[in-house]
Amino acid sequence: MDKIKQTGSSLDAKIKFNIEAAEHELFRDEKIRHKRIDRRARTLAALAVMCAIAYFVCLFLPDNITVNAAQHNLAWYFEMTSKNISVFFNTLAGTETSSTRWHLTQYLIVALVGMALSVNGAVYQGAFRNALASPTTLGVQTGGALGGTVYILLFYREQTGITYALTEAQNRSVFERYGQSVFMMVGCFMMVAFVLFVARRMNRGGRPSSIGLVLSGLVFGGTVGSVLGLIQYYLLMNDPEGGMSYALRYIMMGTFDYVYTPLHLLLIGTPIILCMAVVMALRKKLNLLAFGEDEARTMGVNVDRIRRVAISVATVLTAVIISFCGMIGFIGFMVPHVARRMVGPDFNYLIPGSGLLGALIMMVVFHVGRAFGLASTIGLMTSLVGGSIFMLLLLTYRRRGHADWA
Amino acid sequence: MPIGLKFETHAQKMRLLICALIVLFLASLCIRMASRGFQAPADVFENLWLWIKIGVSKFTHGSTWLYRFSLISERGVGYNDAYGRLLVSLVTFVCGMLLALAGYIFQSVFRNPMAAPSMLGVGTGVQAGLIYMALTYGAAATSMPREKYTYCYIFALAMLALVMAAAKLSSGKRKFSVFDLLIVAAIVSQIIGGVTSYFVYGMDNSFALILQNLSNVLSVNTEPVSLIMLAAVTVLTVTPFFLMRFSFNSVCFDGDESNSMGLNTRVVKFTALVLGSLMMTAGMVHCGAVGMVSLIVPFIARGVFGAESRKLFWGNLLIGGFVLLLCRDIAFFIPFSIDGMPIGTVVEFVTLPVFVAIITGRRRTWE
Repeated sequence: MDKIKQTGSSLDAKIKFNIEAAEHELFRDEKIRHKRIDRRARTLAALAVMCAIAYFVCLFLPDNITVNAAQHNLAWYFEMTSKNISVFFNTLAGTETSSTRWHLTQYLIVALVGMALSVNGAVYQGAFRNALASPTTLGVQTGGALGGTVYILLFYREQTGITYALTEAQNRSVFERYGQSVFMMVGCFMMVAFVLFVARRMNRGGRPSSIGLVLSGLVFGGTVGSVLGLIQYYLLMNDPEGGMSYALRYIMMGTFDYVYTPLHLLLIGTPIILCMAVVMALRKKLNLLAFGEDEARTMGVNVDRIRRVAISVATVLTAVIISFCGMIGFIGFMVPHVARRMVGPDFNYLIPGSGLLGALIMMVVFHVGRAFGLASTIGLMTSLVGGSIFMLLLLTYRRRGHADWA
Repeated sequence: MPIGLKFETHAQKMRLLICALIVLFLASLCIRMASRGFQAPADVFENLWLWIKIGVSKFTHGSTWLYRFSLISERGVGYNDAYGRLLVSLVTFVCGMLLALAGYIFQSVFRNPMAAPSMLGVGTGVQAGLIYMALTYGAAATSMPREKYTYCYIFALAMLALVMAAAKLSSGKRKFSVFDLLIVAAIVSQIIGGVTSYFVYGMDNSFALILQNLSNVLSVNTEPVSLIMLAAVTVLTVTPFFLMRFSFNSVCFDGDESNSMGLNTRVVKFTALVLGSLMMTAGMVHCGAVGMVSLIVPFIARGVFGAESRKLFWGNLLIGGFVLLLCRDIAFFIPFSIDGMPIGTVVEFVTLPVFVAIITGRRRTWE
């Protein structure tokens, strides 16, 4: 009996062990998936925390613009930082008025713009399944620049459009204040409508394919760009000392110098938040689009509608950004690639991930620009700082052999 | 394709193309500036004949060489115009040829109709060279061809080397793919482009005008140094590509497919990319910003001659030269400035209807 019991129990143990092993085998993939999801969620949380920290650090650290005589030693930095912190809390309490109240909103705008630019890039890359797609590929930015140019040619006064100072702007009517923004937005939408029309003609009334869209956007964007160059050349030849060509050059170089009031925050923030909500609602469809147009269609996705909505959202975002801050390149192209290496290609995580990362990088870039007195030319700063960061990430992540998007 | 309807074999199409090209070339010799219109062909060809005779008798020390000054003064202003136009037309034709070939190479290697030859950063390099010229030499920069070519080529080649080195660095020990190269090139040229645009942004209007003059290349430079430069680059780039026109067909396959057939496409691809970048540099330096030629002409050539790279080589070469020469002739007629219109804008507007016709047409040559 004992023997039988012994063998029975050992048999039980064996069976139990086998079942455990099978379960382990069975749920291993599931566990790995959960672990991955946990890691992505943790990455997102870390990014959000870093964004918040960066926001306050940027506010507290001294920069060379508000401080006239910068001294580069540690004691001075500590002193200035503690002073800035006390000024910040006094400003919040309302007991002191300083430029910090403008910086509060300015950095929020900077973060929102960075977020919008990078989400824009992620949506473009997903909707067109093209790693090099960006707002420039559909000619949207060029269309906006054309609108701005038309405004300058028609209504130019000294310091118009995005180059006016706040005190002057207070005395102007609503149209004069936002005239250039309206013109740019109209330019953007006309360009997109034209490109969509041509792309639809390409398939003789059928569905516009992504390659057709990008191709016609590239060609018409190039044509409009050459017209802009011609206008600038003509102005330079006939009126060498005029301010118009300076104003035209200002559109090409992004700047945050003229957006720092709560009103601007409202005007820029509302469309950005709305568009982000639409994009988040589309995220699962964008995941399905990654299989390819025909495959997505067989899975019941209305590819045309998804793409149309995505393009409209991207156009609104681009128009808003360039009409208030000028053309800011590279963030929209770079950040989604980096975010994809951090949280993977799933749009559930990619969209918030690239949004947070974009906000973080934009704030850092803007603060570095302010520290070196180059904040007025933010396009240069995004290219330099963003490019260096991207290069560094590429070097480190490549070595570890992470998967690519292609 | 309107050309392809009547002419069925490739040889017939090629003959038609060459005839059209010769007619256009002869016509473009007779065109003068916007204010002066056409010149009588007989007059032009007499002038050219005299130019050739003087050139030949320079070596034989014949009587034409001795009396050359009186002969030239008899012919009047038309003499200089005639051989000037000949050289300008030649330079334009060669540039169009190079640009179209570069576009064909890039579209084939990336298997993407949107791939532009300036993707590897040579466009940014040329722009940086021009900005350096404008800032260093000021107004004198427009009349210094040797310095212009030196700086533009050096900056463009430096960009190319930088991009290649960065791509190699980023891939570590793995073999680096063409896609890596593209991403790295986009980043590097963004960084350099940011720096150059900072200089453009801070420029005075007078310097900006000089920069525009330099980059638009309104008047083609026909001094010996620029002709020699262009000829050297053409020989150095077109000859190797001509020799690899057979193996270039292999880039149409996937990496795995061509590997299974025992072909090493990586070498072919990278050689072709470097050659294409050099061709693009030459086109941009000698003829201004005419990038649309390299986007559109490969479509047309593929529509006319099919997808076989031996025929496409000649097709792109001839059609590219034809299109750019046509645009140069049109540009002379538009009274935008003394030298006519910037050719880049004319190219955009001439190729736009062609582009729309191609993409809305029945044959899907752009795919």
